[in-house]
Amino acid sequence: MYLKHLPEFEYFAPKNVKEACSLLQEYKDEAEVLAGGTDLLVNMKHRRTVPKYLIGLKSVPDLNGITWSEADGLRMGTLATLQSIVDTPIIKEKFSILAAACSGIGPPHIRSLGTIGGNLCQDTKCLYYTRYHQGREAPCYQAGGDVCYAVEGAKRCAAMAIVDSAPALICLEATVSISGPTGERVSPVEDFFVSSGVVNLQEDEILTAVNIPNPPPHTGAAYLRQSLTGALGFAMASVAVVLTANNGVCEDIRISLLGVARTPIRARKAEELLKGKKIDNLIDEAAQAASSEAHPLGDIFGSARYKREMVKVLTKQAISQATERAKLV
Amino acid sequence: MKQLIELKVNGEIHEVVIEPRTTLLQVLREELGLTGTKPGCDTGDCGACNVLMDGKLAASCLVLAIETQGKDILTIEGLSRNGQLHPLQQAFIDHFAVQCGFCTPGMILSAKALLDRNPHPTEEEVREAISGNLCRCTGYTKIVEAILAAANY
Repeated sequence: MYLKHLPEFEYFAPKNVKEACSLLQEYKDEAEVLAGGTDLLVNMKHRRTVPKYLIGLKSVPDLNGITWSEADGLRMGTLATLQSIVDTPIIKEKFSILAAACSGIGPPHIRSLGTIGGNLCQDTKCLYYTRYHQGREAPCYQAGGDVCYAVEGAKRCAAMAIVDSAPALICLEATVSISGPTGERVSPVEDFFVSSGVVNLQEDEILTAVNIPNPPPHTGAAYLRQSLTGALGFAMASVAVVLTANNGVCEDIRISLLGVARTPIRARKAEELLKGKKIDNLIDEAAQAASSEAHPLGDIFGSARYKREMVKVLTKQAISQATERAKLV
Repeated sequence: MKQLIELKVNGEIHEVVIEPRTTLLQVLREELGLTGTKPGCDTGDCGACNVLMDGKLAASCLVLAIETQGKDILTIEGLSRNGQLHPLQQAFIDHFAVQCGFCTPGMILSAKALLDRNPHPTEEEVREAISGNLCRCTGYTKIVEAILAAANY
């Protein structure tokens, strides 16, 4: 074992969001914001990113805290740790799949440091990118080079945004609040992910909160994640389902898949199959449709065909579970 | 640029002068001489560097020391009181849960985080609590036994 020293940097501790955005405006791509550090500091130790300036966000009051009201739903500051989300009773009660998703992220000593904002903004991953730093190969696209080792002959980066909190947030119709020098804006989480490693966030903007509206009555949800090594490994495929049903008929449904496309996606064909129909008769067909909307990469964790099959299996289970739970509220 | 910071570790206040890039793990071992906390992977994957910060488990290799001011940090050295071992430490001895001992400090702190919030865990809950602590020697069985036993000490 040897200690990997972090590269040198200058550190700022802004007192509010405005100050943090000004710092980003001033230092541009030489600065990074530091939330929990469980993604950024690892990248810095491996020299995959070497910012000259770190903007620590832990002491910005607006970014911390989780609040809920009957009128406005849930608001989580982006610096809320994943463990604090798991431990918040109202989240277990009304937004259970978010608690389930967060409880499956990383080992306990990471979950207590990592934040929801950091989870959404994390570096995209693929097995080859995390190993290229060993210096034996030319850099891949994501590392600034011109080759992809994950997909032979690929013309651009094929890494996926494996954001474990995303399927639950997308299905719960969550939005993110974003602050920048020009003001504030709100974006649905679904639109936050643009493509591999690209999120809808400007260089001088900061994610400040994640907001979730209260689900309507008769809404049930389920979240299933397939991974070879549990919480410690990448998700091979994850499925979240949130549906509203009356007497077994689907009034509304959202299905989100992770790990089977460049970004978290909605399985819209599967959703359309079920809307307005009796759910029990169509589960298999919907699961098949969701599977056809998945475009996974084959890797050592499973072939593309296996992952597509897992999407089918998990979607079927998730729709059944969500339907049962919808009957209870 | 080095900074003077004040850290509270195992109930004692320490002043150290360090660069912003110094991790809590480095400060504990190199500035304070508390070498019980171990560098395993230095990237948050092995659990050997686990400490408790304000009662919550944290990988000290991924914590900047300058961000720990005002926090209550507990390392393995802080578990025994007046020469008396903590029940977890005693249980690890009694149940032969230590071989080379490298994973042990991190393992015990993960167990303490569990028992502090859940005094009577099931075996599954114990295994989940130590899921981030890698051990190359024991095969985990005696460690799990020790933690379950410690709950009744």
